[in-house]
Amino acid sequence: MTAEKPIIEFEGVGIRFGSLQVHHDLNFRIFPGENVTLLGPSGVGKTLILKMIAGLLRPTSGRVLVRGEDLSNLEEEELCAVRAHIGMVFQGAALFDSLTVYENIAYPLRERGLKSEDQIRQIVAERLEVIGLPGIEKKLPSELSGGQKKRVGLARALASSPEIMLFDEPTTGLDPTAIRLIDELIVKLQNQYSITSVAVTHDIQSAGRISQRWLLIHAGTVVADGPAKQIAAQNQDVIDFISGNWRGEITLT
Amino acid sequence: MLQDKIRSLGAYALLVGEVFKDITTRGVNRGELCRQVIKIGRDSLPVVLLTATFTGMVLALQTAYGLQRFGAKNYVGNIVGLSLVRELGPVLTALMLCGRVGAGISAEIGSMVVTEQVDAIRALGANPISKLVTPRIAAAMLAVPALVVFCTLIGIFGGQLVAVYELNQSAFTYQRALYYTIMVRDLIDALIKSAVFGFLVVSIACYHGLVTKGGTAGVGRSTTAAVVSGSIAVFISDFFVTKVLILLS
Ligand SMILES: Nc1ncnc2c1ncn2[C@@H]1O[C@H](COP(=O)(O)OP(=O)(O)O)[C@@H](O)[C@H]1O
Ligand SMILES: [Mg+2]
Repeated sequence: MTAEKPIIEFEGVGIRFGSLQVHHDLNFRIFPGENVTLLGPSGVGKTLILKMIAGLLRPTSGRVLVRGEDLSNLEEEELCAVRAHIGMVFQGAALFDSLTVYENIAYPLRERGLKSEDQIRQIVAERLEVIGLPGIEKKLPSELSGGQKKRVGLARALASSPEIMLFDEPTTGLDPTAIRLIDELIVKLQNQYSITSVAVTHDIQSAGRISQRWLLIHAGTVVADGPAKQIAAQNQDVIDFISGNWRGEITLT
Repeated sequence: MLQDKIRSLGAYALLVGEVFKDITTRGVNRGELCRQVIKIGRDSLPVVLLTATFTGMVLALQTAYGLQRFGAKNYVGNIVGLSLVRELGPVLTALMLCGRVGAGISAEIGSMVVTEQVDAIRALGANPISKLVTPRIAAAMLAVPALVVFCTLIGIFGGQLVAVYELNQSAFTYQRALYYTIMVRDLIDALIKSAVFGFLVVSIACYHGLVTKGGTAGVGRSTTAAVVSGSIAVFISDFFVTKVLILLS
């Protein structure tokens, strides 16, 4: 690994809801510019990991550090400042139903209050260009297809030029063409904006296209962490399990 | 079970605390406040007026029926007026508010929670309390007293219809009775009570919306919970607020 400081760091992180201990010991470091995918079957808590990175949820044990800051020590206002460096693309896009595409993408810019209306208009147009949907500013989310919503969600997350992008199942539920489009878009962003990305998916093909490093999540901890090819070779049954091709007993290395 | 109830009461109290902190530090967004006042008024005015008319009518009918045993039929206006102003106007309005506005708010916020829009608000640098909760509560505290005024007036008018056409009283007798019974104090109490009800119903609805879990089925559960606990809160607080207001007078 590089000598750089990690941009995201999990130290013995656990999270529980009442008696449900979802994670008990998560440990990993992600360095600037890395593109990582979290793999694991539905319900293991992949979304929870992304939300802890974004400071939307606090771990019940351990520490989460983002850009060197321990999030557990921060107040909501300070977390808000950290979130300025993070863009999150939610699983269902989570666009605001009552706002137009323009207002959705302008939202983080307005909230952070640093830009004039002219600058905002420019940024929105530029982000829509990036996602390949120029000129749809006036549409409402209900007028968009599933894939288009995801792309607008991506444009919104990108609006405030974050260093870290979090993608929660960016391609789940889309048709193959839309999947390819989004994967290519993610790769384009990684190259163009040199962002660090953490994605969650159970589509192995997608994971291979958008990331070089994979983390396998199972039973509340990271069971494998390394270059995508190596993980794929060593954990074939796990990969099969995640991608739905699994037929036999699961063994974890 | 009891532990759960106490825990959610605690969580509700925390929410109310955050709303107060938000109002004092950031104030209320004017535009959103106006939109919410209009929405509350538009949604609940028709049902409030309809129920108020018939409540006023039945109230006049019942009191006349009771009072004629003492030969005191001419006091219908006093009793109908006083019950509507001090009690039924605010309570009826609050209950209708619960069914229309409270249910709507918890469904709206609840579906924003399950579609991760509330997480998105936070992720994008805003605060869901000041975006969603504060303006709705402030709007309710303004709109409900106004609704109560309409409710009470139309209820009194309903009573007059019955007094005139059923009981063969003159409108003058009815109105004079009102005039000599109702004091400014009663009106002030009614407005205070209404603001308290508006606060309770809407803050409870926001709370149930925000704690929604488990997809669309969860939204349904939150909506029911908002209506049930909102109405209970109206009945319980009604007694205590009335008690305090009477002590103060
Ligand atoms: N707010 C919550 N309250 C209770 N349980 C939760 C909450 N959020 C998530 N969970 C539970 O945590 C587990 C992991 O959720 P999630 O991160 O969404 O899984 P994944 O994204 O891997 O499919 C699930 O079993 C879910 O029920
Ligand atoms: Mg998930």
